[in-house]
Amino acid sequence: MRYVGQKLIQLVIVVVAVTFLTSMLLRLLPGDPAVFKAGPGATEEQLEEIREDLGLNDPIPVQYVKWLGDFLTGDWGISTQANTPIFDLIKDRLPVSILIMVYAQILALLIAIPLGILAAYRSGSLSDRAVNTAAFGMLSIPNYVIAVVFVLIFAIRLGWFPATSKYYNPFTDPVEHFQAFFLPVLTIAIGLAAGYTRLLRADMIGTLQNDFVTMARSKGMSTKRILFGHALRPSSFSLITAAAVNIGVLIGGTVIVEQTFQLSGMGYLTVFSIGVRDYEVVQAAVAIFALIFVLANFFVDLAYGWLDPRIRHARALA
Amino acid sequence: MSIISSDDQELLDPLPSREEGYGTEEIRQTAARASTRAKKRGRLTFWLAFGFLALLAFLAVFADVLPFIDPYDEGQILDSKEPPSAEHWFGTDKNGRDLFSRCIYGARVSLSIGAISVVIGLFFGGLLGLMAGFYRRRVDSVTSTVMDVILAFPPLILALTIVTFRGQSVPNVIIALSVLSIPALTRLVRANTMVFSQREFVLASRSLGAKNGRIIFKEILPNVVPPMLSFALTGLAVLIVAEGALAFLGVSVPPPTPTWGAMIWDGRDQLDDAWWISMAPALVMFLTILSVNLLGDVLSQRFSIKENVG
Repeated sequence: MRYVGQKLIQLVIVVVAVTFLTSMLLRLLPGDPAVFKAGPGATEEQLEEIREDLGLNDPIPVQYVKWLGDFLTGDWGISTQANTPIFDLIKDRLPVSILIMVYAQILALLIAIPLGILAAYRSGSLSDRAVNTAAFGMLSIPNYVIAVVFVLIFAIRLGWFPATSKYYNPFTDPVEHFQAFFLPVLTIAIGLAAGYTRLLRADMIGTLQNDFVTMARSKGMSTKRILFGHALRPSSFSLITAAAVNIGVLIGGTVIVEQTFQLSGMGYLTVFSIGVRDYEVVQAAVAIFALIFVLANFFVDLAYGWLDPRIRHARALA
Repeated sequence: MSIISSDDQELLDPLPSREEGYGTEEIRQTAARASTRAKKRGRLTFWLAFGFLALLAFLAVFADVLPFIDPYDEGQILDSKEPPSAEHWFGTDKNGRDLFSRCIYGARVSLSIGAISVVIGLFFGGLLGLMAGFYRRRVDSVTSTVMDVILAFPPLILALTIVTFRGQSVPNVIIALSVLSIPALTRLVRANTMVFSQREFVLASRSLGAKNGRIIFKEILPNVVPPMLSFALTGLAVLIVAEGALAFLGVSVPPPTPTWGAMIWDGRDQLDDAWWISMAPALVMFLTILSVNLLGDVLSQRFSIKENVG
């Protein structure tokens, strides 16, 4: 419980710092943010009105508290480009990005766990070397290169998937939904899976040296049961840590694939808004991305402590 | 970043399933043979990787004076979308610009931005890590909190935000990438510093009357540099990828300066009739990152030190 308390305090500090920095972003713009918002040819009165509206005349702490209040109540301002509330824009697009990230994480683990176990079990063999080399190679290909190669092969040459996708509701059009998401999700998952495979292989080789594995074997237990039933769990801690650390990679990946496949999610919205200088949308999106990241890390930290008793005790003693 | 750590210390079959008896001598011989083979293979890939990077760097540095590298912007519309040939090794793009020379000029931008950002990261990350690891207490907690806050932003989003709000230019891209590299290096150096400041030679130096500054820079720093450098190579690969991602999203150095990421993005619309426009920079980029990762892997095997301390 003390561990949870400590983590909560840390969480609050980081959330405050992150939202504070985000709320100050408009000030980073070279020149007067009000000029950006108003566009060229605005009168001094209009500018003054915008400044008042954005709270630029208040002292910084007041600005922050106001911004946070607005943010928490869903009042994120109006998009100058779309002329709709920013909250509505983000509300429609957030599920797309979250689905991409969740699918990619699941697919990466589905690829990595069997491959990692195979490579560890046959360590030093040809299949191990093949898996290891392939994983090393995949780690050297940026996800945007993978995305473009996939478009070339699977969309243009083979025509199996659309080159630019659209979001379909998973409940009403499940087939279209998964067809549209397949290439983007696979693009992100491949890079992640390569990293996971290497980690799991290394840990698994260590686990298989343990006496309890020899014991299980001498009892006549099947290889499959030893590997999946006994050795996988104690070998998976680095994997879980990596899965948590990689939430940042996932967020970056979703921005890239949404842009490549023109999927209308948070990343697409962000890049589009950067292009048309709709800075308030970017600001809100950055805040959302950072909060997702911080919260996800918080929950993984908790889950990790709960999964591995050693951590719980080490932290409690410290 | 730590995913690319080395784990190639091959172990023998963990589950002995082969029929032949496992005499100790036999195991030793097999292991020795395997490791010699692995070493030879390792040396070859090392020199291939090194050679590729050296060649690329040479071409990038001397691009202006080498006769076979056309100035990339002298395009003729007639030569638009030429496939790779003896005249245009990588083909030409939509505007008739030679892709080989654009890749080389792109290497200038991508490699130098990556390298400068890594050096800045090494300097500030090293300094902060040394201070935090040596003085501990308040210095450490302040540094660590600041790093935690930086790490609380997803990396690509952070870089994207910095460049967006500060404006697209080479210095701002370098700032963004440096900010990405500082926290990881700080943590690495801090952990190593903590280990080394417990060692007897530090105690000896202190008892001889050395001041803190001397201990930090003359005693600890030389021991911390090797892991820093091998980590910096991995970091370089990550930053080249990150710069490419920014350029791919249209948020790096503005056109017409060629960068690999932007070239890949530009070719995306023409994949159906001119695949080489995207694939040429993609291939060069892949080989570059692969080479940097391979070198980093070799170095980190040499100087591997456990990171999880303190």
